[in-house]
Amino acid sequence: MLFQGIINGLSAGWIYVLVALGLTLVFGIMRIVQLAHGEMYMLGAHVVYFCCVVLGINVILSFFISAAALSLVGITVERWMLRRFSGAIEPSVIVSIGLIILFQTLAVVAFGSSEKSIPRFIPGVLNIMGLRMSWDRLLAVLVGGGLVFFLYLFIRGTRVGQAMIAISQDREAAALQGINVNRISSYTMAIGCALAAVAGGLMGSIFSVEPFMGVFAITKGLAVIILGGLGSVSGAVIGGLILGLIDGLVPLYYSTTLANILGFITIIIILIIRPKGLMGHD
Amino acid sequence: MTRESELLRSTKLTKNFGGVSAVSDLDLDIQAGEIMGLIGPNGAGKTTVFNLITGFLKPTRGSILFQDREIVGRKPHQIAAIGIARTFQIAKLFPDFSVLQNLLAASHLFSRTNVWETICRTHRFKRREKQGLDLAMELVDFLGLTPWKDETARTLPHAHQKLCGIGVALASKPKLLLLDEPLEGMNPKEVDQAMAVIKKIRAGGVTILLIEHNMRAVMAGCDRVMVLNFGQLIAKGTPEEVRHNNKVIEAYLGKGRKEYLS
Amino acid sequence: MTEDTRKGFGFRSPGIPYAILALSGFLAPILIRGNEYFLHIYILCAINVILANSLRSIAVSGQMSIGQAGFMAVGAYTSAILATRFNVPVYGALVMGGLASMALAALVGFPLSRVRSVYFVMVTMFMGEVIRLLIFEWRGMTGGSTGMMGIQRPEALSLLGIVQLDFTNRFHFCYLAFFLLLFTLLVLYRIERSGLGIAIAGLGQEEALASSVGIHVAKYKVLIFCIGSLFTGLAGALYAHYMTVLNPDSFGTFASLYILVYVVVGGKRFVGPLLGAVLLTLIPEVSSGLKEYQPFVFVLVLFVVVFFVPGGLSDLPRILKRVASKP
Repeated sequence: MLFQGIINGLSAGWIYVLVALGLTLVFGIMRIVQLAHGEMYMLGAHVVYFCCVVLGINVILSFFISAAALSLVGITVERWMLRRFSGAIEPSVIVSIGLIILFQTLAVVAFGSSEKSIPRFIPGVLNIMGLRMSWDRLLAVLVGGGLVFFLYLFIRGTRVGQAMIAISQDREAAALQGINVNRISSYTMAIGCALAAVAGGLMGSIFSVEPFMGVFAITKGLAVIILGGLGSVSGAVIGGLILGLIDGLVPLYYSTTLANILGFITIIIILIIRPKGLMGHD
Repeated sequence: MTRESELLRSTKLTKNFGGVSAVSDLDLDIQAGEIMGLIGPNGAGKTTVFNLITGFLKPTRGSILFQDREIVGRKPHQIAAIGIARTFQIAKLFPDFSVLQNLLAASHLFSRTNVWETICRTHRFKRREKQGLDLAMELVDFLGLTPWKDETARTLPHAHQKLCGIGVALASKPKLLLLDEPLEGMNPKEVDQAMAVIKKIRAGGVTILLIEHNMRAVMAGCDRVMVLNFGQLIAKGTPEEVRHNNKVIEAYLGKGRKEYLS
Repeated sequence: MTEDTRKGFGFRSPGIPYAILALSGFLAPILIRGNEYFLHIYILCAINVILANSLRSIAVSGQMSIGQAGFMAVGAYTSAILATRFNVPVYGALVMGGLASMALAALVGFPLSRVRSVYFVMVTMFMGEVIRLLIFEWRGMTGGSTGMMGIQRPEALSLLGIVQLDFTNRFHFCYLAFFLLLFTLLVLYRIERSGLGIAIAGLGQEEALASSVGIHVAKYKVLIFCIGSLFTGLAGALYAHYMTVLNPDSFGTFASLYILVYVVVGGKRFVGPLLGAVLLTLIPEVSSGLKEYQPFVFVLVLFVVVFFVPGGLSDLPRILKRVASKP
């Protein structure tokens, strides 16, 4: 059963990575204090559900619509609500809290608080040598992998990506070099929220869609990027996998709650000893 | 230079950051009652020396004796209690406090009581509070900042901020005061006023170590001068001696230009 | 003394508005005596003000904690368990609840004091979650997700043989809450308006500078964290013995965030948390008719304050004075 636990853990880990990707970009690299990121993920799941199940639109198209919609929401929020507080933590945290409540209430009012589900893309379970993984999870892992890869290429290869790195290292110097920090912030939010929307949709098909699923995303997402190090995509991958493994293996011997506790205590210790995380830079 | 009058001595003081040596093998001494200048090109390690003396940085090697007691390894608040105070290159004040509140906070060593006495408002508490308030008011007058005592520190003009910063350092009644570029950003009139205050401070029995780039003020106001370059001491002596020292001239200007230091 | 040289609310002495507030707090239950619901709100307000002021005192030192619900839970469960399983008299249990919370703060305080701003916020959030999860997991003692029930109200008291207080009666419980609140505010106020308080406020603004004038930054950060957590735990214990039931879900990160919102909406001044907590406790109750739309009102108030009155409600007098003095 150990191997099954590892498989479960690693696949869960990849999903955590998926969830944390947008947050890595927005908070890890651009230092935009957007604690409501989990709600972007939640809203993304709901939009996919709405398009796909209620409106009957093709699933893949639904994902694109959701990503686009959430990009717009993200850009608006950053531009009008967060930008003025950039640098000041306290007001940003409060605005984020307001947004969390706002979006959760919106979801409850518009979609109801019951659990909904997005139909599975590929039903059934893959079975190799007695080790089982559902096709959906495998799909999520593949998509996650693809997104990580593209994100990595984007940051390394495009000017916008490099600008983000420059800003994360020294905001003022970057601005002096002619980088338009505001425009890059908008791009970041757009991409970050799009990633969250896709992650939300995928999770919605594996688990369920309900207005409070964002809490899981932000908590796990923060844990992943702290563990892996703020600002590091590879760190997010490592962090996600480690947390996934803990969540996959510990419940076999103890319980899910203890897995969560262990995960959080690890994060706490890291924040105290080496806030930069495993691979982070400051 | 008798031993009783020696206030501070460092021996082979060294601070390395990774591969870079910010300060290396520094032997300095400061005599009680003098105004000692510390000069050198930018990046020579002057503020690092301050940080080492006041416990903000731990030396890689070497010792610092203050009144013959080793102070390496002590934390900044302990250094303050021993009698060494400092100002910061970028004027640090408590930004949301008024001038008076800044000085009240700074007179902490003389007004502090423990939690119980604070909560129960004992006689000792009231006495100590008054002591702190008196000290703060005295300082406000001494600095000539009385008209601005209720102004929020953040809104003060630059020169007043610098002055208040000196006051904050004085509030701990130090024996040795480290001033980091106190004249920076001041016009000639403000410089004269500030130097007068510094001389007043010395007259009150405080020894001063001064980092400054304003050469005229340093040459006119300091009893002795030390010159640092790339973390090493390249000259030490009276302003006259230092001004004509070739190594010093080279350090600032490259070879061959004497006029700058006159 | 180290009084704020700008007088509060334009009164000649800062003591007058506080006296008025205290008197109002004392008389309010009498005015609403007949209405059980109002009395219930009063008690919740009192508890929330204790929580909010405690957080504010901690936040003054630069430590913005979003894990205080965890400390509240420690106080609540410690007191409840001692009273129900070990037959400790409620008053003793309440005190133990507060002390347990403070002990935890002392334990984690020193490592936490070394953590820088944003990371501190995150550590406290995770800590609050760990506490909640531990309570969840320790079924045997705490009842896990089903929670605890049958927690007793404090034993009846007889004051000077004249007044008989029976705390199963909400009206009497109001006064227990009121006096705990008064005690909390008195202690926190005395600490704030003192050399200790100004040192703590100073280090909250500039740690290095505070250190250089002799202020032992780490010690004071831990000290105020412990004191704040003591009262947070007491508030939690009082909550347990009022509600008589406990559930770990009441003590999650959300609860901590609400306390923070009370403080920020209320403003920096000492009276701020009182304004914020009372207003934001009342709003959900007053607008409960809106049912699922109710949180929108809460969010609206939040945004209005953050965007238009950044200093919080307690800053309004200063703003109004400035507006009034314009030609």
